Amino acid sequence: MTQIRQLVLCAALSITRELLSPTILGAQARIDFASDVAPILRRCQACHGQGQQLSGLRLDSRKNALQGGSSGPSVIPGNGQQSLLIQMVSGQKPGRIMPPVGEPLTSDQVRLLKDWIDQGAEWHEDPVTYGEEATKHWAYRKPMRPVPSQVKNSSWVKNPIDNFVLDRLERERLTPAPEAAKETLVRRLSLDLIGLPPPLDLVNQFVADKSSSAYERLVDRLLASPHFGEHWAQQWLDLARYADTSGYESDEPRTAWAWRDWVIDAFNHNLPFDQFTTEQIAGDLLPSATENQLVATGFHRNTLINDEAGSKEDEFYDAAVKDRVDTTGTVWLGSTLGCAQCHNHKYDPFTQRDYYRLYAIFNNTAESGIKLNEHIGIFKGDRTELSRQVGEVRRLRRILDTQTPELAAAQKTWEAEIVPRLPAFESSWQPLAPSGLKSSGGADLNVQPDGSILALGTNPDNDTYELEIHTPLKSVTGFRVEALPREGFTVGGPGRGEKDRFSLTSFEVEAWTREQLERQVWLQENTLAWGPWYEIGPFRTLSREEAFSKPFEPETNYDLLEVYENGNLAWSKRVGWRDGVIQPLGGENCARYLYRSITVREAMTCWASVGTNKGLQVWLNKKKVLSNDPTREIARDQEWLKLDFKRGKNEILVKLTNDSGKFGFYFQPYVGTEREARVLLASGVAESGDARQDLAELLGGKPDATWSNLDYVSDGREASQAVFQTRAPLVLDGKTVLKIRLKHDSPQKQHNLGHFKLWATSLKTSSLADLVAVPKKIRSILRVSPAQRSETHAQDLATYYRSIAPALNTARQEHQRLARQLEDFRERHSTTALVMRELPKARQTRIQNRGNFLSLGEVVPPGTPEILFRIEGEKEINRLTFARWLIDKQNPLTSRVRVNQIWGNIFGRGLVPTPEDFGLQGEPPSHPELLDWLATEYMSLEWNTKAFVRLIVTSAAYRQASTVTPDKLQRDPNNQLLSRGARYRVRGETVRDIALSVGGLLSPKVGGPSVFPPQPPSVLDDHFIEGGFKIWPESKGVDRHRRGLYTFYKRTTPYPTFVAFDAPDRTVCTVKRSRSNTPLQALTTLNDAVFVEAAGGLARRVVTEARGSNRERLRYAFQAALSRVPTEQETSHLLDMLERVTKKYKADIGEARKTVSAARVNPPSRLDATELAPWIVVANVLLNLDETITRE
Amino acid sequence: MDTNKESIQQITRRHLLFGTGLSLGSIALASLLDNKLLATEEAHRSAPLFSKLPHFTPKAKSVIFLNMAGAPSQLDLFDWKPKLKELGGTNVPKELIEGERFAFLTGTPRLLGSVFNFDRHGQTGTWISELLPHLREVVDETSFIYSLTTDQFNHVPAELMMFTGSPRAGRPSMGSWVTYGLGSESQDLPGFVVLVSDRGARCGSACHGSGFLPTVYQGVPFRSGKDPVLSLSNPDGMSREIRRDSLDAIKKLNQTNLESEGDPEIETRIAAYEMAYKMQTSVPELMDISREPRRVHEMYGTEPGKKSFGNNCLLARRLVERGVRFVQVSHGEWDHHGGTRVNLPRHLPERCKEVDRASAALVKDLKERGLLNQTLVIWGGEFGRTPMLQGEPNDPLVGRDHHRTFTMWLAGGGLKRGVHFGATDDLGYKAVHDPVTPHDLQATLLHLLGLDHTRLTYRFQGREFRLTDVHGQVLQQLIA
Repeated sequence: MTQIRQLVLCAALSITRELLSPTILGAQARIDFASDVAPILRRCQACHGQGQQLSGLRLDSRKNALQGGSSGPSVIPGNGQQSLLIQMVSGQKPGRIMPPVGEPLTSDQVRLLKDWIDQGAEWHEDPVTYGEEATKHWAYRKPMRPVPSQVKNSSWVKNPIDNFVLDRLERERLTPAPEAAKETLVRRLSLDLIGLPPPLDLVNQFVADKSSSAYERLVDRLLASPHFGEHWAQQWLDLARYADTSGYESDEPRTAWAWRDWVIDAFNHNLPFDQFTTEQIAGDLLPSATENQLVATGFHRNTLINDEAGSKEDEFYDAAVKDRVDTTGTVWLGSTLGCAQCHNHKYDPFTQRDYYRLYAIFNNTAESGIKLNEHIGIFKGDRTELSRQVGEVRRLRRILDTQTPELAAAQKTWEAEIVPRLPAFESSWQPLAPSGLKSSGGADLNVQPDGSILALGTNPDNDTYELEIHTPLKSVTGFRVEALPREGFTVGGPGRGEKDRFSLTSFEVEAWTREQLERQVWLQENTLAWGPWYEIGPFRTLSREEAFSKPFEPETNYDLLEVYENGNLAWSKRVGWRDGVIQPLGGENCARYLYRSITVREAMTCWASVGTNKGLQVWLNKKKVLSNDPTREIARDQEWLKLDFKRGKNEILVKLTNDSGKFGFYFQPYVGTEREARVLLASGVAESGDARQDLAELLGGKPDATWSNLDYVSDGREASQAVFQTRAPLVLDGKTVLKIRLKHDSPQKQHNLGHFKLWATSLKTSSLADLVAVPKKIRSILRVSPAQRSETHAQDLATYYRSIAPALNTARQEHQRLARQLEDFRERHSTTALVMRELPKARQTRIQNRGNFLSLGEVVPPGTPEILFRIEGEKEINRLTFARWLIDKQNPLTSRVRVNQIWGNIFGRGLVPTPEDFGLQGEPPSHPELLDWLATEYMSLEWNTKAFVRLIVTSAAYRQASTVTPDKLQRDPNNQLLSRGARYRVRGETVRDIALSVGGLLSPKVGGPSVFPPQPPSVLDDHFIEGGFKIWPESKGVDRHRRGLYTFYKRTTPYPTFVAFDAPDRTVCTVKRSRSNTPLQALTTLNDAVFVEAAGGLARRVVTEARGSNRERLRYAFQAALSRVPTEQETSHLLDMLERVTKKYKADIGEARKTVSAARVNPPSRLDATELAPWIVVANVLLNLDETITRE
Repeated sequence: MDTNKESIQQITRRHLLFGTGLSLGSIALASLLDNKLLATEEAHRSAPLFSKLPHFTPKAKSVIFLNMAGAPSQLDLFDWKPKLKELGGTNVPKELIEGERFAFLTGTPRLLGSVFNFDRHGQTGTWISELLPHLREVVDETSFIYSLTTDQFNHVPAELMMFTGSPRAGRPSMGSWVTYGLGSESQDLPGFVVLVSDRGARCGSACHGSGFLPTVYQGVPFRSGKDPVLSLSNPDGMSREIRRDSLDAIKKLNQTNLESEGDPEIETRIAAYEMAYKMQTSVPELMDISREPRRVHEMYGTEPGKKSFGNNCLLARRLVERGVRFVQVSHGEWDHHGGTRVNLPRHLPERCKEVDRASAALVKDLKERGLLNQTLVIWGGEFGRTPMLQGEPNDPLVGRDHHRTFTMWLAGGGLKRGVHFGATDDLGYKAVHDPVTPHDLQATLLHLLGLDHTRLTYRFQGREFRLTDVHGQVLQQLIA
């Protein structure tokens, strides 16, 4: 009974291992300890082995087993029935069965153990103690190159692969299947090499080609296709857990596709696997790493991050490092290193110490576990165009840098003009002594006898000094602030910050007549009441355009008590906001709204000066008064906003939109004549010693622009000064009051000026400008007569002159224009990539007790698992030396593991059926010699992947027909013996690619940002994500129909079609996808919009491209989908259906039209919907055949 | 052998599968297997949702998990602490929080007594907050665990811990383990269904995903609207008649191919298409609650066509009636930290109002139909909330931070009724009696379904994985 049951069972459920194991088929023979018993006893070792002896029992040697534990001897030789071991494993003791974890032993395993004890419990060696056993394990020994086996039917053999395969078949008395039909072969090759069905003409061409090299030429043609890289990248993306979002709560998008394109490119350019490995593991550590090599390190940046509020950095950084170790172990070593996080591996020879030594290798990079950091900008555009533009810019630069006799002569003229004016410039500055001094923060400002100002007392955060000045000057064209060193300050410098530093962020001047001043005070005190700002956002979108143009709820209804976005967003009052200060805001690709009310006693017009970085829209009392979306950086005073207030309450609603970059808002209201009083400044320059700083940014109010002595730390005591020119001469009447405001709004909050002096000049604007522009250093050179100047000084002067020479104006402007254009070009064609970056100083790694990052043990240095082989002669073990260790030809695992992955990608299963586990718990290879031959062959091909793939697909084993006979189904149910061609359903992405391709819709575009093909909107409804990424901006144009691998991979809700067809969510490394077969899949290919559209596309092809009768049209459609002609029976089934369906549609043309419109077909002219609709139904049938989505 | 007999009986009861069809021949063969062999991947590939034998006689057949995502405040709903009320406003004792990591609280926060009133109810004298008047009516049917303790204090890791047994993404969820272990009893519905109201959970599909188990075991969201299951309806213009005709053509052509290729997988595909066709009517029929009697609608507070927790509770009952194993109903936004948006005084009552009537109705309704003893109902969040206050000083809109100790209630499914299990200290800070971890809860849930949590394993990347990792104790004291 048992025997029969086993056979039946194997036939039905394909337990190949049982079939191949001699223990079942040859149970009568004498039991061999090493091959039969030891593998079973290995399961006991975790609890009853070297490391641990629960109940005092140790089952790793005969002596120990006989001796037993606290319950007595476990094995009584000759008496299996009475042996405790048998009683425990067969569950005879109520409530207890061994092993306690995992499935119990099978009844055959129990019987085997019992028979072994009955036979005397012979125990030749101590095979279950793990060091010894493990070193003997096949996978940890270097592959030796076997000699291809001799076979009887040698004419079948096309290359050495076939010797190994046929030898095994002959020994099992099986014959290989005949070669598959040419139509099948061309479809098979196309699906295996490029992941797409072959176009009809390729099929016809191949079928017609009777030459002996036809097959090889087809292979080479496919290997050269740019789609080869796409198809082969897909398996690698699963291994690398590549996705376009970060996972966990908000599952934010990340820009990572440059790495995905790198993989495609690497396959297309046939990057040898050793380099492919090194660059991904440690591209950043290669000497003078290229941009591409940096991008390659994105492999290990595919780890998740958790940016949920309240998450702790250490926890998720640790999780990412562990993921890197585990993934590396699985992908390159086929080893389950993760087990050793908490304890020594129970089966494989990896210790916990080994684990943390590997952890140490990866524990030295700069990225965070809770936010996305460490990316680089990379150029993805046309490099020829880039170098053309760079060349142009350089050419102009050379012109600007070349001295000519003409320029030398012009310089002489210029010198003659400017030198005499210098003394007047120096002496024109008049000191300004303030009569009123105010510090917003309450510092004590004093005017010193020399007219300088000294700040004493408290040193408040971000102080603003307001100085009132009466001056006899009739006109002012420039102001000067001198930061003066002060004896008695900490280091004798001019500032009040740490080490006497200061940071001035704004310099503002107003000029008031007495009348203006009086009216102003009255206005402010009596007529206006400004409410506080309220703010809400971010409203997320995928693009800046969408953010700008989409009216979110607050735009039409700004009830401050309302909540929006499912209650995720509410208005909040911004109490701390001050007018005239840039307020930082957060968020990329989003909109924010601001609200403020103003109550005025009488209707009046005010002005506000506003600034932000991108889109700005303003409504006053629900009427749009401003709308602008330029690309700019946040700054003060970018736009004037005219505000016509009505009497009573007025409401301002501001909408700000951003894509990326510093996001902020600036608002400075001007009431009454404030706007007229404001003195506009044209330019500014600061000097300290020879250092010179353009203060244009400070005047423009860029958020982090400051004038400070931070840069002059080495000599902070030196006086430095800033000069500001007015845009127009300021005319004064003696009664005018100047108000000068000095603001210190830098993040270094206490960096206020401590000691300074103000000056003004009346020198004519025209003559001031060029003098101010001349750096101090040049001024001092100019003061020396030409004959006495040193060579360096002469050169400095010439260089300076060229930078202002009128003769070079055109070249200079052109250079500027082209340089800007170049920058813009670079920016438009750039993306970012996440990369690894090694920290200069290594982090310390400690063993984690039970894998808990908060419970640390002894310190371990970086290193590799000792059992495999040692890195020799390396002083330092880092990611680079580790990568080289991985691909060292001494490494017993890497090549075996990789060739098995490649084999699996072609045959649907590996020679080792557990590609993720080559350890003692994994399944042994079906063809051990073939595996080793392939592993050594791959290395002697110098890891040439295309050559290796070519080798496999040109074998006779590969070319077999996949038809299965009942005999083979019984004897080789899973085709582990390769007694026929492989037959399996393709992966989810390919199911969709096939449909789009057959429907003539598939875009051939390779690479680029991920796309958002249509999916039902309800897919994203599944969960609530606070402020999370929940957008699916449906792609337009060709991007609706790109290959599956370009679909935006959202980890919490992957594209549903792929999920239905077993795609993983890419949170962890996946080596082997399962291959289910379910009604949800049927519903997808029957009804999903994309598949219906594809059916429409195929129908359109049929009615436009195929001529003749329905029979001929059907033949065309069938061939397009399946690459073969239909049988007579198939034809008649389909034609019958076509006829019936046509009748139905003719009876109801409305239904036919609906069908056509659901399939989004643009019907060819003069074609009736009732003619097209039935073909859509036929196409839908064809796309749903098992054969269509199967690689035969 | 007994096992075989049982299997064959099961087949004759036609407890079949969702997810695949099998020819009679292959079912018969599969039934001859030892159940344990079905755990191999090959077997699952052939018959993934074929109804399987449990490890031992089960007490429950189905589970309805009412997931209160965001973590309701146990201290304002179930775990009545007069002492905490008394000490409200004073600083939390320092030794209590020493070495503890919180999501947001820092320094020495002040204690906050329950914001709501409590009363005792039922013969069991269970303390229940005034916010849950309907639950009061069924307290004698339910058991309370006051001592749940998780080691996660952020939402998604804690939700993952509750539903997958690990705080990291990538593991199979409870419902997936259950359908993997037991298969489905429904012929035309998935074994694991997910219902999300207008306020869902945060971890997305990760809390009903199949992780490394085959995707056939993942929770299938049933949505409101035209297509409760994605792609359920035929495209416009494709009548059911035409669909039938085209399915017949698919079947005939697949059959031809099966004859020439001999691959049993083709047979499975033929059956899958037939099942899909059946689902096109069975699922809309299931989702249509309009024909439920008025009394039922009043009991649940349901309104047909609405996306609400109440509707989902009623749907959950209809699902288990039809043999679905695991129904996960999520209702979120219990994250009451304080402040205008999420405070206890205003928002906790709102949430309670949304769930109280229907949760209690589910228990009553199942009982009336005799389904309660075979259906386990669980109600609770991923963690609890601190006895300490979170919020601005003097702001009446108080809240509480995330806390690792919390309360859940359970009913039916072979549990004792009216048990009060475990207890926290006087301040409701720590479990002082019988602490219960999510792994214990998971072990107990599997146990009630007849599964030994240490034996329900799946081999992935060389390791045997379990829902309960290497932990978990069955809470025998709770089992009837």
